[in-house]
Amino acid sequence: MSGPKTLIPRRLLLRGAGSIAVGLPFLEEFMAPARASEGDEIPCRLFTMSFGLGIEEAMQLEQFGGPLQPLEPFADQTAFFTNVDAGPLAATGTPHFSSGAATFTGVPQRPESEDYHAGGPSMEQVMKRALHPGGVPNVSLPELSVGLWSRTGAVSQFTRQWNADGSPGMRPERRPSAVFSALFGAFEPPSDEGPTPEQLRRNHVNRSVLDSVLGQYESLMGPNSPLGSASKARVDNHLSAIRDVEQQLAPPDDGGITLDCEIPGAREYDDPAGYSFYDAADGATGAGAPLLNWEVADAAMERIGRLMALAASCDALRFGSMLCIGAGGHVRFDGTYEALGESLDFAQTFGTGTPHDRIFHDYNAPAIRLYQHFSIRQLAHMLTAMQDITEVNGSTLLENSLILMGTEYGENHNASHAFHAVIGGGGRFNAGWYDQALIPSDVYHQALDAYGVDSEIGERWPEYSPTEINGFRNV
Amino acid sequence: MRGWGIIGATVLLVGSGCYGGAEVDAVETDEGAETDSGGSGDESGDGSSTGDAPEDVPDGSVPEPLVSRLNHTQYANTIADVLGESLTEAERDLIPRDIPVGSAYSTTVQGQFFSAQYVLAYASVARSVVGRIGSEALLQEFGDCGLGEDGCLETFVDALGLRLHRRPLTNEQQETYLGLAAAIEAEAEPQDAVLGVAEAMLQSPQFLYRVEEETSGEPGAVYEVDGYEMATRLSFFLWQSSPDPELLTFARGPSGDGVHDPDMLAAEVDRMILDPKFARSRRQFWGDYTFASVAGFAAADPAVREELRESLLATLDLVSGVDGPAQDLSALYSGTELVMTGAVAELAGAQPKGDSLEVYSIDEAEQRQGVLTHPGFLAALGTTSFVGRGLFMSERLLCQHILPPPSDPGTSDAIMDTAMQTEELTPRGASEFRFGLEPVCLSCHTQFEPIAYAFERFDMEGRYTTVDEEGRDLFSDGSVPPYLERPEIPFDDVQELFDGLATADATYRCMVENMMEYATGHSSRDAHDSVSEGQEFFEAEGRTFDGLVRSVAESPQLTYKRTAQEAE
Repeated sequence: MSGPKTLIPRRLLLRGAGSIAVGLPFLEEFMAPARASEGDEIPCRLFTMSFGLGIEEAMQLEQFGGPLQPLEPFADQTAFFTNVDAGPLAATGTPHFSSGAATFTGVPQRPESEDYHAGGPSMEQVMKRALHPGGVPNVSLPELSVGLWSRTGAVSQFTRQWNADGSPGMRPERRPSAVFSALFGAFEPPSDEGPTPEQLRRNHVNRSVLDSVLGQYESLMGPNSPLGSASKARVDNHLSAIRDVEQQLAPPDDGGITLDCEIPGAREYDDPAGYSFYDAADGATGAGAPLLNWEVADAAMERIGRLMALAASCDALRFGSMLCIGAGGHVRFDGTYEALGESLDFAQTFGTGTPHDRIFHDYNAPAIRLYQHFSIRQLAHMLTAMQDITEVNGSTLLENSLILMGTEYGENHNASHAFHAVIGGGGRFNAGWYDQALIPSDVYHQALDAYGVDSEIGERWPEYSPTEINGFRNV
Repeated sequence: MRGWGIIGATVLLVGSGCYGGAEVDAVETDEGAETDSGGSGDESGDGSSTGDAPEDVPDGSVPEPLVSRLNHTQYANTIADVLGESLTEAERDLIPRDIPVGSAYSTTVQGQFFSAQYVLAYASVARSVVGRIGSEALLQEFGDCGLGEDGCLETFVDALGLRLHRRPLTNEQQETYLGLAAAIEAEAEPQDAVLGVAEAMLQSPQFLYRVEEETSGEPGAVYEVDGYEMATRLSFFLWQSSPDPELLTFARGPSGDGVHDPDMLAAEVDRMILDPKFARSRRQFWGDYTFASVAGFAAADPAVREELRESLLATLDLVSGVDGPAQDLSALYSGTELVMTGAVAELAGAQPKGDSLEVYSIDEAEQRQGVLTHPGFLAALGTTSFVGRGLFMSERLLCQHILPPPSDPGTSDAIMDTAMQTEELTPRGASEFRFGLEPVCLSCHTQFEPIAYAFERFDMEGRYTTVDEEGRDLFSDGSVPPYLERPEIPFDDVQELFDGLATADATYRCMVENMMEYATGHSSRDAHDSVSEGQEFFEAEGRTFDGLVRSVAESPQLTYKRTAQEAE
């Protein structure tokens, strides 16, 4: 997307769960992204994308004749991995939990904390920290996790963002309106008058407060800290996050930012009608799971996808994760879904159950093909929006970004053949279909290595021995 | 302290390979001498030292340290209580919610999320709240002085620091805040300095995290907490908020050195239970315990969802003694009254008395006995599956902690095969099918599913029915197998099951274990001896809700801490 380059002072409108909008004065000075303008280097971006419940090998090998069809428009920039065994990464428990926690971390879950923790950070966090050890410069948010999910039986069912110590980072935001607020709620029409004396005074106060707060966190991480190592790791997550948003907390005195994209209207990204039940904190399983028309879900995910792409193009966001349904699939759907020349009446197929129970447990292969087509379609909305945006280097936003796609298992509730893909990558990879025997860690490790970033998987999982992916790297 | 002895024994539990935590082979307990809790505390007053290492704190009762961030509720309560300013709805929405996962509590430390969104939210809420209060009011409240008066800023910093850091500021911290004030004042107004200091305190790690001394002493050794740590633990347990000035006085101790008087602990707990703020913690506990605080009630009629939640929590208020005499917590299993709205009463098979919350005699409802047959309890779980109901009830009501199944392909295939073959069966039929699969399902499922047999005749919304939607007969008989000291409980219906549970010691032991987990944010699965002691205390207190709280408030879980094993 390209629009008029304007100087826009930011003001974050904080939105409530409903339609309340409240302006908090402190956030008037929130610093905005330094957009990569013409001649600037395109920033490195990494987004993970996951869907739940896997695709069995035979359906992966159908390529675009099966559930992977929504990825066909991106085939010339996607490496598809159809023989990825997540088994070595699965600890105890169902793949929904153990392999879910390993998806994008590349390391097994720590058995002593299987309910809450992964074994290490997710890859977008690894890249963020490697490229920006002092904090991500000038973005609205250093990362954002979004998606469609229900059920909180275990953190790893719905969390794909993991902090450096393996603690959970962020629950995926489910509402388009909340995603909009997080990314673009800060913008107001431009002012030509520059910062007012009041703004400058406020900026000075903010910087002073930030210096003081930072000093306190640094002190708590120092040699005289009263904290042990586990607690220090928690506080270090906080310290790192402060550095990531330092520019927003205490902006420089120019009082404005340059953006060359147009900020959309919030109403365009309202939550679709019928989506309000997602205010519920938790969904149960089976017939107790929330019921949603698939077109309503599709509309929500399409809006979220466009927002994420737009934010990336504005350099408001460089790292993130998107989840569709989540491991376990505890969302019920109704409506008739048509794809691959077939149709599926979700309500009739699922009855009072969920996709997880009715088509995966029961192994209804025809229904699985269409249901997973639907799942991947939800992720493809963001890819489409990224492909529609051309950046200053002449390449699309999608080409300039790195997308890691994965799922928690392949065969029905069995960790083998967990489909993975690498999309984009700025020409670092060769598109195509790869059937070499791999584990998910190999995909992550090589993808980050192409950016000169150590995945740190070996550091956290000494047993890991990387397998070179033949022909993957464009060298 | 009253009643809290120390048991220096090893508890060995029968294990089947299904259970998390310690697995053992026999039961053996013996009582030891009462602990000497006269620790030396914080001699410097800056929290840098801890009490004496006791020799006889029950093994496993004190967890490894892990710093806890104030959860959403605690953060909002603390600001309201200390600053006298409630968060607006927009501010509350800005702070990410802390939602317990699985059977965890909202206080569970390990499950706490953290991302940059929290940092931005804390900063903006601090700015917003402090700006709303204003510098003059802050100085007046925390310094009893006005802008520009000699020593006013210093007094303000010390007083607000004490409340927000929950202990006296160290000299270094005081200098930090005064330095901040000076830096702000150099280019802004004096009132900005006051506001800036308050903002910084609200974002400081000492405010947002419950920082304790974790590194003093031998790694792995157990020490008594100091006065301020004790006060903070108590206040977030009993009030879901920060200590008030009186509690901080207790923390300072008779000598003013941060060594509290343990003999005053019981009185302080009593005072806190009588405080209106205690209601917050009571509601939070029951909401977490029953899942009602986070349940979506998605299976229920949308118009009735909130009524199910409120009806259940109001019933638990009734049992806890809110606006009336406290009941024995056996009422969970044998209580004779349910609080319901008219719509919920219909689900319970009672004649509605109106739309508002009303007390119904159990005799007015159908096939009910005890709070846990309240439609809200069953609807919160949102499932009729014996696996779903059985896992939650085994964990919560029986404290049988079930490990997840192995993830090997053979087991995964077996699970899928079983699921396919049981899809069309009734919950009981599916369960009996699983029980017939030696050994894949048998060993674990026969441990946690049997309790759910009693509830097959309660549908997803907690409505009683003898046939399912396809006209198939549903049943209610079964037998909960023995576990540890709890004998087998055969039953023909839920009433018989509940009669058995109401008379089982293990039922009350489990209540103590749950309350310990809620209070500390850490699992108490390995704290066998300490839980036993707590149970004795609980029984002696008449098994009331307040007694349950007291049994934990004075337990080693609250009064001791462990030095980090890998202290840096």
